[in-house]
Amino acid sequence: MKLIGSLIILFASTAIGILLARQYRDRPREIRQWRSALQSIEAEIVYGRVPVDQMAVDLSKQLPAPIKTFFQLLTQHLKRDKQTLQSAWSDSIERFWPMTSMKRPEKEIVLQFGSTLGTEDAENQKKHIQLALSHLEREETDARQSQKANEKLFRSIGFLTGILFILLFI
Amino acid sequence: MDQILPYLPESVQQILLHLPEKDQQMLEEIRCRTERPLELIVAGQKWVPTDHTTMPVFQKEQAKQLLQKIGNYSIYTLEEELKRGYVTIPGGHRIGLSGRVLTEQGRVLRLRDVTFFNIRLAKQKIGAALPLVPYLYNRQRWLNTLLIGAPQTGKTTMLRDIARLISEGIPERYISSRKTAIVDERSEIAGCVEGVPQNRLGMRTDVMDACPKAEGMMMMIRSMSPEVMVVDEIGGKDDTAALFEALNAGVTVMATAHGFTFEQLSHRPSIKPLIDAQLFDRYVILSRRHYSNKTGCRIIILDQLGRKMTATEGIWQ
Repeated sequence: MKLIGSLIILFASTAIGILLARQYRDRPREIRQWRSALQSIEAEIVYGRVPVDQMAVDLSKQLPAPIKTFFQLLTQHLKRDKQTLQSAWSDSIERFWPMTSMKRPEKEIVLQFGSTLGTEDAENQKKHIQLALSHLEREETDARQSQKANEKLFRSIGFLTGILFILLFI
Repeated sequence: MDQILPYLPESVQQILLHLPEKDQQMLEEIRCRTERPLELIVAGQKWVPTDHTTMPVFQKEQAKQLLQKIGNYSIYTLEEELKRGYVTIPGGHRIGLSGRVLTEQGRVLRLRDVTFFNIRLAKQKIGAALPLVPYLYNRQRWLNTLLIGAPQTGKTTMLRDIARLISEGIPERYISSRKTAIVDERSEIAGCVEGVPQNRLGMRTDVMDACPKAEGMMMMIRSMSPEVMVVDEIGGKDDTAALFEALNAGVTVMATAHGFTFEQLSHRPSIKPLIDAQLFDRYVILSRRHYSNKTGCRIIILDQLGRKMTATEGIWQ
């Protein structure tokens, strides 16, 4: 009986540790996804002159899992709710962010970028994208550093607190 | 009308929806000027609200929104349009734009702050050109025709219907359909959106959209082997050369030109050689008449030497 109880405690605390650690692991990966999304947007604007609504549909098919949802949300807001692009963009961001491990700074960057999307000619759009890209890059390096520092830490803390509790209760 | 409404701000929509049925049908232009009241042109005249309501003032923010909506929230797709100064939207309606222009070495780069909009409602008048057919079709072929008229006299409407008649043919008059090519520099005849004509133009029509006329005509002759070619608003030197080429290549040409009278036109240096060479078989002169409240159109047809064949007056609109 004791053995089963302590195993459950150990299992739970390790799981919590892993979950917390995942926050740190996913953040840089998701930021990287955003960067590649922005690069696709840039190519579509500069070479294809594809309008934003069409682009959102294309990207929701092309891109991998978490970020794909954002473009699906955006398409939904634009098509079904007939919102303006700016409000559709910020609404989608608000709904999308809690599903991810990303934090405030990159949200601000993406929001800021959304407010300029579609309002200028290709040349200026490119500049805005470049700006957002370099901001995101900085955030990504940040995120990687904290990943290095914290990911392992949280995982082992989870495991060790489990052991500690078991020792206390025995 | 329904195609236009989603673009406009709420206040303008309300005015349009509450227009009397009759005026709604005759609505020609919706003019929005920043910080000025809305203006509607109905049957060629400024529309005055009957119940003394004031027209809503068009705000700066609304101008921005309107442009965004026209560009589908992607202004970068409008670069070419912002250079030309107008946009064609689904339905073939044209929105003229003006405002502050960016220049580079004295040439227009594009419009930057678009503050004035003129929405011209495209109205295709199916059958408008039917009365002309007996004069323009002879011995199994269409005759080279030049339509002459001042702006807003219905030249393009007429030309569009001629194009439709040619490519559809008129079975009840034993007129067979022809391969038709339209060089549509201003996207006015076909009203193309992404290369697909929005107007009814018959089954056998090819359209070269937004293409400079002179080059477009040559491209069409070389590549699409048209029997009849339709072009709008000829006038440049290059146009004249291309027209000579087309007419000598055995392609029938239907064209329009700005002008009030035949005499006035025959003095224009770029058009004179065409008239002198008698390349056109028919000239159709359009003018606008007002009959107590109704606008009509007067049509005069001249033969290749400029002699009057007939004058008919018809009321349409």
